[in-house]
Amino acid sequence: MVFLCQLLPVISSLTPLTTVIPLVAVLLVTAIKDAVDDFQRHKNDDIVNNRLSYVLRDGKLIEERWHKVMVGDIIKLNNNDFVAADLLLLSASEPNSLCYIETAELDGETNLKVKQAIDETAQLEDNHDLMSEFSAELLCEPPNNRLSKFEGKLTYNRKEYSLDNEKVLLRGCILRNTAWCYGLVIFAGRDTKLMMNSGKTKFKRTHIDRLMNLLIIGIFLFLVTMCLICTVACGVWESFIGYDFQAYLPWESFVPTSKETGSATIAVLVFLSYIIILNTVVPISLYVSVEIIRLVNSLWINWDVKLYYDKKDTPAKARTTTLNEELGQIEYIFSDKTGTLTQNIMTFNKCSINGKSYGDPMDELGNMLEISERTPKVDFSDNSYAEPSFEFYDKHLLEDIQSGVKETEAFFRNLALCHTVMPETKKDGRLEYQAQSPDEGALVSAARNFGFVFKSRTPSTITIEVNGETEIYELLCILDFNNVRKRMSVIVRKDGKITLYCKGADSIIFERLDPSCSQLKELTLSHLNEFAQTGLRTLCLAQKELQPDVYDKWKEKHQAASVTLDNRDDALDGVYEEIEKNMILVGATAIEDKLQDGVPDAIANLALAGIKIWVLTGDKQETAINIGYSCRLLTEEMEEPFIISAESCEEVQKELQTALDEIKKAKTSGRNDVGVIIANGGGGQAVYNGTNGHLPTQQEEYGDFALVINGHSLVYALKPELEGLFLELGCSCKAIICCRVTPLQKALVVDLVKRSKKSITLAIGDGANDVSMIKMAHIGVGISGQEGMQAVLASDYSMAQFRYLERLLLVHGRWSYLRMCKFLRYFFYKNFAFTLCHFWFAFFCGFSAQTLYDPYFISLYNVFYTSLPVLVLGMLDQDVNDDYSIRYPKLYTPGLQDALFNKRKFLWSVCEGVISSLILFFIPYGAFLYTHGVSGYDLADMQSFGTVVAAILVVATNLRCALDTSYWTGFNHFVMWGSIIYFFCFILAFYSEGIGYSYVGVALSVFSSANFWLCLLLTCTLLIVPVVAYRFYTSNINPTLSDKVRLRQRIKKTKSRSRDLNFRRQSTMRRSTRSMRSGYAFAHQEGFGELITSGINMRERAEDKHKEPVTLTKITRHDSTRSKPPPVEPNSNIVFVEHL
Amino acid sequence: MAPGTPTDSPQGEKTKNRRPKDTKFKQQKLPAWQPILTANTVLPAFFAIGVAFIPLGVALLVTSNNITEFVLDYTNCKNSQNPNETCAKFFENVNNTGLICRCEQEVELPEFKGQVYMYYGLTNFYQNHRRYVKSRDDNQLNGQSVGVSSLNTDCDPYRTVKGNDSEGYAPCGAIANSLFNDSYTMVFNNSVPVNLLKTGIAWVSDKSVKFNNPSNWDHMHKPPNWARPVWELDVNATSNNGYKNEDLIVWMRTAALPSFRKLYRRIDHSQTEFKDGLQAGTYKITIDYSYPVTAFQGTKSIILTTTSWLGGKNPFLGIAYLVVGSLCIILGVIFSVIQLKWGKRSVDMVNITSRETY
Repeated sequence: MVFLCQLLPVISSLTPLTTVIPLVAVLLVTAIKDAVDDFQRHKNDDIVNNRLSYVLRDGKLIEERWHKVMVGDIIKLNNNDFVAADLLLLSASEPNSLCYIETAELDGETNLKVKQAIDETAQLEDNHDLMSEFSAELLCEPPNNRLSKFEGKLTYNRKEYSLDNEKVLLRGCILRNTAWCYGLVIFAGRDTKLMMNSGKTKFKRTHIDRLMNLLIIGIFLFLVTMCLICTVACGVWESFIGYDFQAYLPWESFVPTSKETGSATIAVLVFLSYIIILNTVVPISLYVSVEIIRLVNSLWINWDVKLYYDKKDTPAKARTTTLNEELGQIEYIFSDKTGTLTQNIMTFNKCSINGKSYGDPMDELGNMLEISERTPKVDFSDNSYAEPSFEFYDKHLLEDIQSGVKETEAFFRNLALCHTVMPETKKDGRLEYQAQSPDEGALVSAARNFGFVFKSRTPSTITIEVNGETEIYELLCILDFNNVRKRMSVIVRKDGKITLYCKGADSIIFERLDPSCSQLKELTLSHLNEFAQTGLRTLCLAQKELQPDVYDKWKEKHQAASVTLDNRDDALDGVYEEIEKNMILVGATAIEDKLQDGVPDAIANLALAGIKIWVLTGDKQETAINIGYSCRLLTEEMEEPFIISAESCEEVQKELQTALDEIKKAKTSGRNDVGVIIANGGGGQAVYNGTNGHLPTQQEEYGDFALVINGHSLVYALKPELEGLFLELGCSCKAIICCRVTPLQKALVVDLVKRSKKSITLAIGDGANDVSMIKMAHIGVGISGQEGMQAVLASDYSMAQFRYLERLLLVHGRWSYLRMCKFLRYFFYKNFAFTLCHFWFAFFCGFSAQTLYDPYFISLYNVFYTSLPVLVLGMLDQDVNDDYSIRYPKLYTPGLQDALFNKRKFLWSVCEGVISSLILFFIPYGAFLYTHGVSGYDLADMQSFGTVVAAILVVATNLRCALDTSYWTGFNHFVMWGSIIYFFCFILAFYSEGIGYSYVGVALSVFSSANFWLCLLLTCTLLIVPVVAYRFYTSNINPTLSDKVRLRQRIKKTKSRSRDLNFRRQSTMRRSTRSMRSGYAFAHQEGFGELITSGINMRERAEDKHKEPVTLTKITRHDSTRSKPPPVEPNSNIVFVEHL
Repeated sequence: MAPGTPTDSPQGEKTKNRRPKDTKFKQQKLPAWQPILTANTVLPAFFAIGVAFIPLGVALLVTSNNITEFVLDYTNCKNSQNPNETCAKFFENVNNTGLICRCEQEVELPEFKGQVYMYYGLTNFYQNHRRYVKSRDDNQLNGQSVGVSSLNTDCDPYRTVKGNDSEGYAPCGAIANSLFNDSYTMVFNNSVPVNLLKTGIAWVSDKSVKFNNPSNWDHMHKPPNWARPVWELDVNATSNNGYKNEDLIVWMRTAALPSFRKLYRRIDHSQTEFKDGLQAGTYKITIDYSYPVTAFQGTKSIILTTTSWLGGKNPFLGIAYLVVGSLCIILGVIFSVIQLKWGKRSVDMVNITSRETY
């Protein structure tokens, strides 16, 4: 608009060119940047959209890209394939048309789930002929986001089959341990449950963006005010002076000749003229400069070697280049658990057998060693079944096995027998296990590595191989796991000896032990304490020999119970209870749910930085709490976490209120009893090298409370009536764990905090189930390098490991924020100083909107004379280096408090700008009023005076930028001094005789006068000294942490250049006075045992033969247009598949 | 397969190594100077600035004071034909427009040493008004365009002769039209006329580059306010005639501020009486007053001055340097006191832990 105004000669105070030059430059840069951004995004989307899947079309399997898969297609999936759409399982390779899927992408659970096809469709097997002829009518619910429910009806061969979730494979799952399966596409593309859960993609803008827009409105109002002042003043001037001055300067012909109306007309026109002149307070180049700075700061993230994950060859990537400075202001982190905090790998870490603890590596003298890369591992090479990935450090255990210690053998036999794992022999002869829970897999595989190899099972036998000898056990009964029992047992018979093997949560097992092992119990208990302290998941093993008659009697009861119609489960539990008693304790196992490297350190440091971390996981409560402890989100110093797991609105409210009351009580009754105050061990370094280094902060504003809330309670807690209460509670707790949450709930929690707290939120996750919260949060981070791409694609930043978040936020985020704030403060300063000179000049030119500067200077000022130094500052500046940024996490505080650029800081910059413009205008005014050159020539003419002010302005603003620069690289020097020198050279050349511009000779005349140089020196001194004085005062008398660290950094650097500042971080193992925690943390489903004993998932190897490919016939959907058929009923979707 | 066993990621198949380059630039580890404002650097700097500025200010002040300057405001000088009337009053009568009101002033001048310049000064004269500034045609003044049709429309209403678009003004525009046309002569002791030089008063670059005479003056007329056409401004010297007339060139270089001085003449020091400047004594200045300024509350003055290496007499810079220098010294003292009393030693300052709050 301003540009159009300039085209009107009447009001134009500038040539249109002055706006065109920066405008074109700005638009060009923006266009290029956006094009590159867009291209990259498309490239990534295409990776997913172009994934191939096998679709049965025209009776043949053809490869089809994902985005072309349509409702009604039949898809073939191979092992380890991603499911491309929501499918109805038709048939599968496994016996009884079972197939296994991993749903980690959907709900974060890692255990495999079983799906079973309807018998009738299972008969299709992999016969493409039959498949092509498949014609059925499917009536199902409309697309929705419920992952755990599906309702539908299949009419096939005139029979109706009801469909539920067990027969549906959802997009995002991965087919595991199943050679192939066929599925009918029910929902594709956006209609899939995964996509329905992923939330809307929103255009994300940063907090500073929004503030900037507000400020620009403010500046515009300020601009209008200034123009109004000028208008009024112009009217007054024209009527008192201008009217009389007409002898020399007549009014324009269209202006009324009468004094009042004439003045008023001119004044109104001058308003527009001043808008044009003064609009440089909001320079067009602002937005583009901000974008450039963000882009470069994103590149630093991409280029950071310390964010690069070697093992997966994955560097970090800033997928959005517009959010950087927000990384420095994160107050809440919402993290997924599986795959994000944990590696999703369970390892058998320690055990206690017969009162002896194994697992800690010892040296010859029996001292404990810290586990490091160099620690020798136990050599399992004698065992042909050993897995190379298995690591164990205590060689005593293997020695004991080899020397045949009875208890040790019993221990591992228990592990090898008591489970529901399925073995699988791969084509290359490797033995692999399919476990429903990773814990169980880890235990069985540990037994295997120690020479107790579980080889195969049938519904009634279990075959294991012990030291090369095959032992076949008759499986009599599986006493399956459930949440109440928290244990499972098997009863096996070998050589006529009936044994019950049991494993379960320690508290459960201990209640059921024979009194004879009370001494062992004590010992084991102390070991369990030790294990639990190190964050391991513990299990107890017990066994019991059964006399055949006892067993027979029990068997009868069991039979009776299993046919009961009412409360069959309770009856069975009761029967199980009878036999699982007076057991002999065998030992205990400790499994580590392997955290990703460095997670506890990163969490501790982020917490220290004042960032609150919420873990949102689809996992079970026990698992979640356990991980909370092991990654030190929860600590023993905290109060026992409040657990909200009620299932009705009132109860949830009650629980929330109780928790809140307790916190308030604790707060009011004095802080002394809340948490222990831990004295810090001495100086700065001590924090990083002792065990006390990672204790959580105690004296935070809140006591140390933690909250664990269940998904079903969260449903109510997120309702409008309760969300306030929930939020208040959540924010008074240091750690929050939400378990069993659905993807959408994750987003809702994020949204709640985002809406109500005005804080910046970050969500981090790896799977498709995290997409919704990643999109919802201000900043979404995806863990890359995993199989799924969904989270990464939805994210703004992707990186390979959770621990990199620490560096991303504390280093890159902090720097970006610092740079952006410095940049903005300076930028507004610079433009106010520049533009306001026009305003002061207005008082001397009759408010006629005459520009002080050369119009070319106005158009080049922002782009060529002063932009580069501050751009380089915005790219390279750092107050303290990265190591110190991480070592002193509190340096993150200003970002949290939004302290470096807010309305106050902006006003301050503006005031500085205004004062600077006053000095910039009035010092030359005083110095040049009535003066002339040495040889009498004119020096106070318009052109010279404008050039003087312009030159001083360029030097002074660049010096000011130099003062703001705290990290002077060669680039800074180059652009800083380069800009000043360039200005002088350019002006000299441009105003020379060769060009013939109307300013010819001005530069030479001005630059050769002593007056100018004295003026320059004086003005710059006057502008710089107060700022230096103020900064010196604050940094010396009231230094911020940043100032101190900076000083320390400098002293350190000069003192010992060679000293390594990188401190070795402590391993994840630590010792503290944690009370015992035990989790029978089987991420386990009941009913698996039943599958085994009933034998339906037993593979018949004979069936494995591959059928010859058959000629295929065409399959198309019912309607010829191949568009989605219209829904017959408003709330149902009908898909027709038929053979033509 | 044990769940969670890392499977080959799609990236794993590629042999391409995506590790970022470990260069100092990419890792933001470029060697850099990281200045810190410490007492050791800031305090000496303050004192240094003070110590440097105060003598400089004194020097500037002395230089400025050494310049001899004489200012005579003659806005309301008496008409020599009619001593009861001021020349300002004379021009209030519309009929007198274009006439000359002569006034004579006797002044006692101190001694001027060195080259003496004569300026005219105007106040409240808005040569920097936007409409005024643009009301000129640089191409015309440069002799490039001679046609009437090509004259810059900004020159209106002094572009073409009223009612006849084919006849234009030379030079066009309000600046030229309002050319200052008072003239002065000066006589020493009622006997020795002071020779005034008309040339060497304009910027060399202006005279050689910006202003050139056109090949012909066809269809060009004198601006309405002028007494003579531009090609008769100095009929005695062709190099000072037409657009190349230095009085015109000086006037065309519009002043930045509404109060300004413009160089009028140089004193000819080749005269034996005025070899070393102007002698002290009585001078009679005769002013041909024809430029009315009182209508818009303007004043006119005549200024005689010498120059220094700084240019004209202006104590502003000297005083400003003294003030800034003294302020720096005061700041230095204040900060030294603060530093001694409340300042933190760097050793204490760097004793920080990771828990230290911001």
